[in-house]
Amino acid sequence: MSKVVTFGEIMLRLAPQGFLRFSQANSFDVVYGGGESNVAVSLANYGVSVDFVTRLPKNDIGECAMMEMRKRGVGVDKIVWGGDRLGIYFLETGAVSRGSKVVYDRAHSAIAEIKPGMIDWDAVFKDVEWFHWTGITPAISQGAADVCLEAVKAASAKGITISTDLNYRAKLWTFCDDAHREKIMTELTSYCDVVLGNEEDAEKHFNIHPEGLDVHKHGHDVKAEAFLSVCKQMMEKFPKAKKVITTLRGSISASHNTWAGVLYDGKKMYETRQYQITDIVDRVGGGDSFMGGLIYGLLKYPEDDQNALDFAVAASCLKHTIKGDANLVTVAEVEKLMGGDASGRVAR
Amino acid sequence: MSQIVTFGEVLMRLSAEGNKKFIQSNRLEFYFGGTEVNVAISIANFGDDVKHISCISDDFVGDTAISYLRKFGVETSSIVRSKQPLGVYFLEVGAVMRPSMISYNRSHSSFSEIKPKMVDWEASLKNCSWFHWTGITPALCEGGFQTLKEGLVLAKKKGLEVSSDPTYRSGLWKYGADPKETISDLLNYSTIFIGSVNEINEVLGSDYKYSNEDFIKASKHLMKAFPSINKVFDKMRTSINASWHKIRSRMWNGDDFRETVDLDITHIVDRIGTGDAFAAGLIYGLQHFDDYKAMEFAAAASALKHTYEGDVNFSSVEEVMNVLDGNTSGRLNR
Repeated sequence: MSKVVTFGEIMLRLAPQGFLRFSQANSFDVVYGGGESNVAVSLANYGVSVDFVTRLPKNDIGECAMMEMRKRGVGVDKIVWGGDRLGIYFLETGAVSRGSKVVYDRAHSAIAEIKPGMIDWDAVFKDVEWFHWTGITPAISQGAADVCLEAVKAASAKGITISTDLNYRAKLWTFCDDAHREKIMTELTSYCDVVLGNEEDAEKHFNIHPEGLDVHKHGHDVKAEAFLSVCKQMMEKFPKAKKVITTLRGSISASHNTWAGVLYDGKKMYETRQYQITDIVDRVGGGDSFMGGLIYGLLKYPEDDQNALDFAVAASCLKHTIKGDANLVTVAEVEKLMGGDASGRVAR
Repeated sequence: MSQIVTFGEVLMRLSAEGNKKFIQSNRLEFYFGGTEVNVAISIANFGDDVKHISCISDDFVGDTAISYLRKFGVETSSIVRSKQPLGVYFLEVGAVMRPSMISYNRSHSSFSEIKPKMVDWEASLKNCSWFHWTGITPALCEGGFQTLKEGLVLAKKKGLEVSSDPTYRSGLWKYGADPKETISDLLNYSTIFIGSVNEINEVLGSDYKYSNEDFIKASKHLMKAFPSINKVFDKMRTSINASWHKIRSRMWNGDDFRETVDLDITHIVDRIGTGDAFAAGLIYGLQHFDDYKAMEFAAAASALKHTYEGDVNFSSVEEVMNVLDGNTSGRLNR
């Protein structure tokens, strides 16, 4: 099947066990993850040939991050080595009314210090059909933003399909002001064929609002129709985009979310059923698993956006039941849920 | 680039934490091991291109085992699958005067289903220059022996270097084959013998003693009986107690006898897989150094393995070289 490339940062995730607070914990569980590497792992699990491109420090911790990708069947040959450190993020898992917390320790990571010319994009994009980046990468540093632009330009010149997940992260984006951020994101997004975001991403990045909804006050009651206006405004702003997709997360509590998605192709808005995720195990990487499922779906069912969207939503529902950043499910497991079997019975 | 191939059973290792006895533990740690897998992972850690061939259960346990190999950079594309479960072994790690204990659960494992023609040897050995096997595989089942022989016949035809570690385990060999006859048959396709005087005696039915003089005589005798064998390496272990061993090795390559100094391992963390670490070090060494340096490298690699939990030597070439250069202080590297 087609070859996909994702580009971004992979970090060491250190998390107290279970639901312990940072102040209670004496040990951390180790996971390696990042928005774009999580998408790559999803795709590898679905049998798609995928390369993850990043910059890693040449030390044991960098090697472990690479090995984690290789273990999952993701191609690692295009990773460049250099810099001093792997980024770290600390995660405290919330429950019910206590939200999860993230503390970043990722400044000056190997990829934060990347510069144009370090990655041979011509070689990376040989025989590649799809390139995926996210709004996290340009938020890391000016250098990372520059290399991201280099990548989308090279991919675009080769006629490669480009997707993004806008992924607005308030705690990142420290190297520039809001106006510069919007300029960077607007330029990068203008090369994209497929744009994924949630209501907050469109608002924070491009000041595009859903009509008649305040997501912070009405988090548990998200309606698909409200996002049609977001999709339309996005398509006006980004004429190259053929599909704009929004995830609809209803946050009833940290433990109970609803989950659905909509896709607008410029003519029609497709909508999925709404899933109830009643006992969340780990919601980090939920959006990435949606993107992984969507790329797979759009490649697998090119004439059937509804099916692709259904696959993405079902895949990311399953992610919420899996500890760690990455979605470790197979096509058969996703299709079983799409087929309506949400019983969770033991498969013997 | 030329590749090294290893062939044999992959086992899941379930071990009690730390030095706990089984009866004390409510939690078992799992790793994947098996003698030839340990060799493959160690070679991959050294940076050489290596492929492992096996028959692994077609379920999520088998998938996890394959991911484990892939993580370390071992190529898995020639692995075949079967409906039986992956073999398991249980380990209790001893200390000082209490020996380690092992119990196997492998008699109807996925590997026991392997039969000739299941592995496409022609394709599997396409870019290979080296084949490594051990005496565990022909001891397990008829299909294991026959499939291995199938691979070795082709390896010899293609002129591959073939290293054999005939490791004799009397507890295996339950399917009726005669160990002496079976191993002898396979040694006809081998070029390098890794084993002790005892193992030479097993094959030849001889009675050589432990001395260097007898080792040379035994090696010459072995090379006469199996003319394709041109190098013999012996790894020797002196066991002071379960936590303190000394290891040493010696070789005969038809011209020269050489031996290493004793390496003193005073506080063993885990001795499982140290012989495999030796074999991996030797295979790497023989491709990059002369015979003597290769043996020294293998001995240093094996010494380092005693410091790791699990079956596998996780050392890099640089770390082994450090020990070889006499840097055994174990000072903190900041």
